[in-house]
Amino acid sequence: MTEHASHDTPPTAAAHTDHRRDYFRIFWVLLVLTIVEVGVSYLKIDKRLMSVIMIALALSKAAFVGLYYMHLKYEKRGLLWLAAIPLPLAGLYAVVLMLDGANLLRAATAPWVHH
Amino acid sequence: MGQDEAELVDAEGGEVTETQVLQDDDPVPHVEGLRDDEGGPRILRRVGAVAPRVAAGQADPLRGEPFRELRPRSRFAGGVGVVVHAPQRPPAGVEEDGVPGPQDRPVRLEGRAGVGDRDDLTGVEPFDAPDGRDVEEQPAGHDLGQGVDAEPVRAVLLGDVGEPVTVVRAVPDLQVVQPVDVGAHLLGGRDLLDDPVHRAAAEPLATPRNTPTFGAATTGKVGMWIFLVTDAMTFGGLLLAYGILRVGNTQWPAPTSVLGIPFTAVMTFVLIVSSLTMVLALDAAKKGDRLGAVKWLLATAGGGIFFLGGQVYEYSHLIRHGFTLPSGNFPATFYVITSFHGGHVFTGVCYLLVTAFGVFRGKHLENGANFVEITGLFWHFVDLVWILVFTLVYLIP
Repeated sequence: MTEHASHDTPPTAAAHTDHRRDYFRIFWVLLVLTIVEVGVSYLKIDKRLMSVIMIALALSKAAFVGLYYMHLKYEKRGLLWLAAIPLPLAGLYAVVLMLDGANLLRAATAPWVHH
Repeated sequence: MGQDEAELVDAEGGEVTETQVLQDDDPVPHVEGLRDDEGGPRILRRVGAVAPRVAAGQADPLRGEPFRELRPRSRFAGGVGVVVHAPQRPPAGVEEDGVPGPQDRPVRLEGRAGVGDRDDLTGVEPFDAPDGRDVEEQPAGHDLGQGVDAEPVRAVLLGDVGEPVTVVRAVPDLQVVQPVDVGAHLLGGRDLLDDPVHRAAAEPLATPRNTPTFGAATTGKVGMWIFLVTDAMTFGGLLLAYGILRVGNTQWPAPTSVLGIPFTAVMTFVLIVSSLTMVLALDAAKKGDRLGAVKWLLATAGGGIFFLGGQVYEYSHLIRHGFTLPSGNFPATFYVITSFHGGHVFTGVCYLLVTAFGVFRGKHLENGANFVEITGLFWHFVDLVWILVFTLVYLIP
């Protein structure tokens, strides 16, 4: 992402129109992705595959909101980093804890465990 | 006739033939260019010097006081002094007209003050001291600095300055045959005399409404983002607890079997629409469309209220069916996460209504509607979190 040249120039009516068009475009993208998501939830497919699809769709929707509606795409890059850096860390944390939970479950339900 | 004027007439023993008042309207259209240009402050200082702290009656060549009355003491006492000893006639070889630089003779400004205007500077003509008749006269108490103080703020900020003015570039061409003694230098480069000009340029009172603030990370925006990141951590913790409990539980019910997906999909749709209306509100606010911004802000708040109503309906429906908070890990995490989000929606609705009320009263439109944009950041965050909650809590099998 580079600095947007259009934002260095004085604002014009055209620049506003562009933003408005972006806003509506993103709205339709979000709507379609939501419909796809709900549709996928009714499919009879592998749960793990469905989860991956769902999470990918949700993250892409969140990214659209962040980049366009919250204007991160047009902001100084530092602001983008401010928002973006904690996310993978939180994701890593989540994965580690969930794997840990799964391991605990496996250990608790293992056949060699005496109840 | 003011006191100064009377003195002048006495001193010259004649009448003032020409009385001209510097006009204040649109006085300095090119202040920014002048500031950027080396030597510009000299010209500004010439005008700014007489603006503040100059009592009536202090010697001031620009006000048309007789040249011979200029003495150093008056300059030092009042902090004013641009003009000192100088040849009354320009030496041979020096262009007489159009020299805006550190010339040390009284000048006559014709027409508008036009401090920064290249064209106007052609009107700066040397004042023939011995003649003493063609003296520009200002009424007593007229503050020549007013023009510099008042309007340049707007002139600078509107960005209509155009390319830097080259007036001061004429200075190097000036052949100073005889050393000149410019009094203002004795006071230092950035002395009090410069204050009005510097202050006017350094502190923008208000940015025009259309200035795009995207790309300009204002303090408010950075503050809101830091808050949102920490808030995201809270949501992350809750969702994490949900994920851990769910992964560690083989008896977890399929959410779709408990929760009404179509109903929640409609709520999600409303929240996405409210995000759209939020950016439309910001767009209107940036254009200075006050009522349009209020309209879209209220629509956004309406979407939030609809969402809250839907959540109340959903909760009451679920509770009637025994899906209560203490009835298991799934309802416990579900209620904690969705109600925490619902609290954010409620907060967002209040925030939106307060912002809408402010905009309606004419506030929040300055600085590229920065306030409205920050409100929008919070609201979009609420939408963004719901996107994740909807997927993770409602949809994932």
